[in-house]
Amino acid sequence: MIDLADISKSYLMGQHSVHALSDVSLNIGQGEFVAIQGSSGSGKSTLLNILGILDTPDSGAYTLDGHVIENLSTSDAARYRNRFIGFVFQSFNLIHHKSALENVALPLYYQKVARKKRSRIAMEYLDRVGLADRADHKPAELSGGQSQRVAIARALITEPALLLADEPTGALDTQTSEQIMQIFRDVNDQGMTVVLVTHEPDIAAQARRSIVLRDGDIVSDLLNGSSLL
Amino acid sequence: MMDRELWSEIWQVLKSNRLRTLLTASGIFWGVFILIVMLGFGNGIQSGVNKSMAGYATNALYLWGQATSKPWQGLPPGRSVRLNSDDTMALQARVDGIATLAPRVRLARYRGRSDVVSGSKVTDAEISGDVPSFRHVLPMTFKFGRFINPIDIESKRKVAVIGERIHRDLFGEDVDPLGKQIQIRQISFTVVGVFKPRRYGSNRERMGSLVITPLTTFQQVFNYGQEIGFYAMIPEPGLRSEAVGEEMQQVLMQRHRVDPADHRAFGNWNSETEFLRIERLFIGIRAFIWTVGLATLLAGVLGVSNIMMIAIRERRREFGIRKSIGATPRSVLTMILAETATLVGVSGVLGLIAGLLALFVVDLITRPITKSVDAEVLFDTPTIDLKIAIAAILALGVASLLATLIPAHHAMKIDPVEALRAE
Ligand SMILES: Nc1ncnc2c1ncn2[C@@H]1O[C@H](COP(=O)(O)OP(=O)(O)OP(=O)(O)O)[C@@H](O)[C@H]1O
Ligand SMILES: [Mg+2]
Repeated sequence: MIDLADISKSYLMGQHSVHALSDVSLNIGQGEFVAIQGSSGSGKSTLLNILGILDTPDSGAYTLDGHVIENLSTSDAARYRNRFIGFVFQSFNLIHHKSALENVALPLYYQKVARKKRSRIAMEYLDRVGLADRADHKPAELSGGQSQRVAIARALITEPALLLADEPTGALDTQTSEQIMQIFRDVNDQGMTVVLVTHEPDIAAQARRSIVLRDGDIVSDLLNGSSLL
Repeated sequence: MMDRELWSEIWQVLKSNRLRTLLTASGIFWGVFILIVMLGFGNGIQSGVNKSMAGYATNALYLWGQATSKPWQGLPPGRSVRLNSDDTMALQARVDGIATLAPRVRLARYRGRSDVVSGSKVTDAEISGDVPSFRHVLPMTFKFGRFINPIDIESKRKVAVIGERIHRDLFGEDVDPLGKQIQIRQISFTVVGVFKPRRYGSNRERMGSLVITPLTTFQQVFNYGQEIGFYAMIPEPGLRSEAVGEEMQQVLMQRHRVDPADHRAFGNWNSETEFLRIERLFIGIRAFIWTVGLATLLAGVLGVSNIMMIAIRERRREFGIRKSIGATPRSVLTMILAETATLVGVSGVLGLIAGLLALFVVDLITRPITKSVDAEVLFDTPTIDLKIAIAAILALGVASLLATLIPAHHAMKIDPVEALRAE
């Protein structure tokens, strides 16, 4: 499903160049549930952005679902993101002037799905995250947990092969985090590949595989024997 | 390209920031409104002035002989130059660019009057001998009868065309005078027409006091021989009457043996100079209007560009989100340009409609004054060349789109990773 070979990425900070990732190689199979951990600045978000084709590595090869991701034009990258990848962010990133329903439906707009059909499908997904009754609410009228669930519905609506989440529970309390994780587990059970970044060990423990980064290197990569409930 | 989906996206965005939308729209609205109203007023004033000048051939030239001031070919100065019918034929034959050449002769000096008698009634009139083409110099309509015709000239008929006041004073307003006799210096003329100038202007009394007879008849019965008093000339369209008048003088100078440098031998007057002065004034007014109007529009365009710039900075994160879920750079560009086009188009058309409405109201209010028969106000229905108005709005749209291209390009290049980094 995901095949990273010798991926490197560095940023120029004044005189120095900071290695965000150095020669990372990684294989993630179809249907896996992977948690990426590491201290702040260890390169977690950088890795996730490369996986999500939001960012491009300086060197190395990335193959996603058999497609070699290399030298994509910006519009091809946009199409890949739209087709294969769902994103969930720590800060929800909903569009504030759109209702929950419209936010969820937006990825389908870029797939040129007709408005009626779009709304119907978006409603199904809102229902799946338990927010059908909030369809007309603006993001400002939703709690953090509700916002994140709307964001997840938006990430799922294109039925992506890969769901990427960067600290999805970082801004939420324990109970709400639990609801969010439940959704991730559910979609993973239905076969979707999920990669999530977190620095909370008990969140990471719910994944089936746990990867730890330090200073741009993978320092551990373990299967969680006890991950199933 | 402008599908319904895009429309509803645009509508939502414009609605989501009402103040910004309103500010941008009002800039464009006022720009168009002011341009339309000013153009309308400019046209209103111009057609008002034109109307007050209508009825005069605006480019007629009058030319007469005076006295020589220089010796020439052995002849002494001080000879008076007398024009005659042979001159008329020579001018017709040798000067190109004459559309109408009307030789005229008058019974008295300029504006001088003589008695006209009908039965027991007497009045005074300006009496002239004219040719049919004089109608082009003084456009006129007929209450009764007709103007002098070629047969009158040919057969030297004793007929006369009289002005409105003469008609009223000698016969009474409602009396058909055709066939009746009038006497000028004891010579009887048959009335064949009562004319009315297309427009009286400020010369109402004088224009109504004219009595026009055939040139040939006049020359014969009043013993003028072949003499011509002066010429009224209208040049071919596109020619300056002054230039054609200069050529006429050259011909006449040769014929009357006048030093070509002796400019005092002939006198002339033309309405064209006045006309050109007014024309230049209008060019000035129009230039002013366009300058102010375009400056207002330019301010509107800069406003659009500026506000879009701010809007895009504010919406950085939104564009980042859109890109992360599959918006192509092109779709971002299309969306921003479509937003601008919608905003400018709608507010431009509203400005156009409001401007036209304002002009309509002005017309309604001023109509009783401007449309009355004797109106001497220099204003008429303000009109707008819709083609120009629409062209102005289109140009405005294109300019706004170009001005938005820079901020839009900016938005296109937004890096989603940057834009989405947690604040
Ligand atoms: N745009 C950038 N410009 C310069 N340096 C950057 C940029 N993005 C990331 N970095 C650097 O790259 C390294 C990895 O950053 P990254 O955001 O991947 O860390 P992270 O593991 O996600 O940290 P956190 O847990 O704080 O989110 C850090 O040292 C960071 O300072
Ligand atoms: Mg991070």
